[in-house]
Amino acid sequence: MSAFMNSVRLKSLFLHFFDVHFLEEKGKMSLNPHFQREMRIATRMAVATSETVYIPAASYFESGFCRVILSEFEELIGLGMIVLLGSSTSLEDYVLERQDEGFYRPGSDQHIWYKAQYALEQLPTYIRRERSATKDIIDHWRSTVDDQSLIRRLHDAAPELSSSLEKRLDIVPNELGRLAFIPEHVYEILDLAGAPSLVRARIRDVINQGYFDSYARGLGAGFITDLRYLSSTFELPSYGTNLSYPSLQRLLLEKDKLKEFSTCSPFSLGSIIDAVGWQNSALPITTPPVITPANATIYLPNQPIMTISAVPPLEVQSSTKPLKILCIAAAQVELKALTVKFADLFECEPKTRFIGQDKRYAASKFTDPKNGSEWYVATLAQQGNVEASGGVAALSHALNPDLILMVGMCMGMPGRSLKIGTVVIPSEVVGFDHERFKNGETQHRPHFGIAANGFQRIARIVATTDRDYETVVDKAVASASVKIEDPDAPLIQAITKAFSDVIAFDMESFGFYRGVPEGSQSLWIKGVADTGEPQSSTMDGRDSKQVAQKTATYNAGDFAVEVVRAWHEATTSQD
Amino acid sequence: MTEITINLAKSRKGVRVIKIRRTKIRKRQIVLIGSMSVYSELCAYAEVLNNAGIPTIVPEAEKDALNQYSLQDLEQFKREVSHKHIRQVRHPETWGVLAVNLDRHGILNYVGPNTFAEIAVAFAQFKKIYLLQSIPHAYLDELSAWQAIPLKGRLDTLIEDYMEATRSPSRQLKLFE
Repeated sequence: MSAFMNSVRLKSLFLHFFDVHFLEEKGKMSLNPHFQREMRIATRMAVATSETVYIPAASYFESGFCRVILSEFEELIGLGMIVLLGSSTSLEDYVLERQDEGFYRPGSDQHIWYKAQYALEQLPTYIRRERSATKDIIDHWRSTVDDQSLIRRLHDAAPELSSSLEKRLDIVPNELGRLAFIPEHVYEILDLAGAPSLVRARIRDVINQGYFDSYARGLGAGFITDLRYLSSTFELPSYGTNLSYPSLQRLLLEKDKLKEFSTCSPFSLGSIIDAVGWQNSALPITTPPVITPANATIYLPNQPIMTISAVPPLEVQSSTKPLKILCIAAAQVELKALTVKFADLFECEPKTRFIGQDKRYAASKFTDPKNGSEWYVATLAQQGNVEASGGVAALSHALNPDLILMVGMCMGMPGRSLKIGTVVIPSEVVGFDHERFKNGETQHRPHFGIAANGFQRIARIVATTDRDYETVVDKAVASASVKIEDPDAPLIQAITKAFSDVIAFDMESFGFYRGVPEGSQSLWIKGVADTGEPQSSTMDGRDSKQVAQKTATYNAGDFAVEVVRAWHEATTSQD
Repeated sequence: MTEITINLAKSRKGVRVIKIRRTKIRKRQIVLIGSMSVYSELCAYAEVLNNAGIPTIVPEAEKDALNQYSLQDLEQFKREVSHKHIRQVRHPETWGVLAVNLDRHGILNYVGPNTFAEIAVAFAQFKKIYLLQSIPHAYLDELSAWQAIPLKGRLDTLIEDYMEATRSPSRQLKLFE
């Protein structure tokens, strides 16, 4: 054990080869004893040379090889050297979520396995991922569709493929809906059941590569490379120093230590590997990352590995891709004001871009010069909760953003004494679209939505500093698809009476939070433009109202940019 | 397939006897080449060809070499296996080679150094050269000049070519029947 504690190691290695979709590519080869032996030795090499070995929880649960091989490391598992990764809050939740028929089709191997409820005992350390593998696979898929590399690979495999396939590749992410982005589901959508095996293999490669990229990127991890039986058909997208399997194997053979390394106790792995001098060998045992992250380890051929900064074993760290923000402005006046505000803040003119290939949605694109974040400002066809819910869902599917915002103006509740321009961030939203007419009276059936998430909590921290306008970040917002032009309207009176925590009212907040994808980082930010007064009949009155509306939206836009910049800093900082 | 040779000779007693020697004629074979990482595919495609009536040769499996040999012994083992397989490529009964060139490490239609060397041997011996997938970009000039035939993952062309090319000898043999 002392060897593990005292020697310089690679920061982290990601073991990709237990993934069942990767194994599927290997076919009957996986039954070959050499294949299984290579898996086992590679795992030993990873444990011996790195501080942390990461494995997707899916590999652990779905691959018998993985569980059998890891069972050899029982003593080390308790030390947290082998870590499982997943998107759920706990391993128990991870299994439960995958029992849902909307996740894996009934009858599929995965669904059968998770339904069987493998006994959750003596499990390795588990860390919840912040990144979404599905989202990253979608991004990777779209990039290979956009740059034509996928269609080129498919045409290389089968030149006779129908020309309509190219268009259908684009719809795959939307067609999948909540289904997992796995090869079987994609074959179904593309009608590739009878397609040549090479075509199917190349589809599978894109998905597997996107999946591994998601993990390696978030972890800044390297891979075990140049495996023979476990060789990958696609390039492994490493973000950390890699370990060359054949080079280390050759070194062990040269020193006549391979047999001992293969059979020793896990605690002896470190001392054996150090005894053969792996860090100073003339063999190219470590190789640099394919993609260099900001916090990578220095790679110097034939030199000891030197870590220049710690890569925390969590996935809220730097990404080479810019942050993508979907910013929705419901009304035209809000869209116009936000466009002006962002052009001023980002010191650039917007570019008009379509979101998605079907050209159904358009947006004004801005790039934040401070951090490279890409803002897509889009609008809805109409106002109201129904349009907000459907619109945000469709736009999120099409753009696949990291952060989702609704920015604009709202009504301050009468009697709450909010100044014009005060920015409101809700901790809760209450929907009032559900009503009942009975015996000549209207009964309200309010529904509640929690608006708190990581993004909202960042906003609350940002709001602790002073600025030219006020912010309210811990109250509720009421919402109904009705335009209020009377502060004494029965609905407003009812809300005031029964919901003392409600500070503002708008027509979209409830629909917005209903429409955002589950688990996404979303935030409604609006400035107070009025308190429900009717439209003025005078020109001066209208001008004054317009000024208030612009001020409210400007302030909301300003605060939105502050919060996103704070989010970016929090997720990329290495402090 | 059997070739029958008839020799007319006299016995010591002066009686004429007919000596019939049956020589087994091997059908011409196809040698599959590729790295150990695609060994299962090598075997699978060999089986497809065998089912079509085409004899095949695949490289020798590694057995448990790593556990049994030192580095020196392992390299000796690899040398012998390579020699043996190259002899099969050069064998007069070898009609052609099929290189199982799956994608690898992101390189489409990958042909590794060993495979390329064996293809070169086949070319030097005037054997037909087939690639399971397409011609890799890195060797396009060489393999195109050597008339390597890309199969795009389907063996139909290879089987038809083989049947067409090996039809004549069997017609000739019928004269002796």
